[in-house]
Amino acid sequence: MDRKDLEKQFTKKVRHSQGIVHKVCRLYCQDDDHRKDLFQEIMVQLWRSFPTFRGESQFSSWMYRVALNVAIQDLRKAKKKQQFFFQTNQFKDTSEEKKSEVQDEKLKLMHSAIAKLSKVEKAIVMLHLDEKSNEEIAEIVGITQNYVRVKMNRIRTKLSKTVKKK
Amino acid sequence: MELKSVWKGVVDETISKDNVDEFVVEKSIKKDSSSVLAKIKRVMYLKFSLGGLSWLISLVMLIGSFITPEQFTFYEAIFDLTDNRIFLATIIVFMSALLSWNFRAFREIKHFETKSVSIKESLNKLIDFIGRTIKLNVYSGAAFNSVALGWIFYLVNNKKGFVEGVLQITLMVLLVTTVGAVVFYFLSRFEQKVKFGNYLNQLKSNREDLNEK
Repeated sequence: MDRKDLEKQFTKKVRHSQGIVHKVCRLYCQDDDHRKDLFQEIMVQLWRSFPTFRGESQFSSWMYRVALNVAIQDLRKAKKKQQFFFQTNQFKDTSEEKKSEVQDEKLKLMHSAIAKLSKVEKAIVMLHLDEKSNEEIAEIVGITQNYVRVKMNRIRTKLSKTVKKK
Repeated sequence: MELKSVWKGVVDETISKDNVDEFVVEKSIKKDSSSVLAKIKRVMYLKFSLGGLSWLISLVMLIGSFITPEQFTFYEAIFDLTDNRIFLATIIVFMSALLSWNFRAFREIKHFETKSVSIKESLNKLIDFIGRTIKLNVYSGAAFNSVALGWIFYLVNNKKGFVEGVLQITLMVLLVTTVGAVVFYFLSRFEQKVKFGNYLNQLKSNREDLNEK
């Protein structure tokens, strides 16, 4: 397969599953500039390792692996002034105003709790929230399934402690 | 709080607004990487260019010094023909070692960048690789600078004549080179610590987070 065809195949596949990259970027970045840079870096690394993707694992698992590796190995430090990454007021329809307020509150709480987790914990919780099985999480992260369960329990405790404090 | 329902309902909706078209994806993959490894690679390209050029010039001059010695000596007042040849041979040996180490490291980076492995394995490999890069930079920096210092002392002594006699001059050069090696070793180590220390600590702390306990 020549480069042009490979590029077409890559862009088609990545475009279809790009949500994974955006989720990783939103989870690990604290401002728009950083998010754009990380998105760019993940795309470059996905493209570089695409020729070695043999289809042994799911395409989405491969994308998670590359994207999370780039995010965890990212050097940039968090800026002091943090933005709210997951947008609030998703439901602007007046008929759903109340629902919006509740969602916003939950979202703020979720965001502040997740932001306190370590980079590795963020990766595990994201995979868990994206309905990945313990087996898949273990494969992507490189730990045993048993340890995934232990980690998830610790993360749950951490998150509920943070939420209770609020 | 039901984390999963909030995640699904709101986060997915937010993410859908970030979506980009194929043109943006195509444009993104053509840009340069800004990762630490990409930066190390860029420095390596510079080392390959400058080191390769010095290696080639030194080799041409060394061969030339045997074919037409009168045309291939420089700064005759302090450099005689033998000094000239030893000096050029030293540069060739050092450059060959440096280029070969760099080439091996470069190949490893290329391999690392194109293989997708688990988070833990990737961290292990990156930590190991940066550790070896630091060692390579420290040892090559200490060796190169101390040998250069030894040569400077030798040439200054040739001009000013502080020490006389082959044995005394050899001992002086060896002493200067050894002391220089120790000083430059610590200086290079400090420089590498400033350059990579913080990043390496971050990576190690992430790896520690993955160790079963």
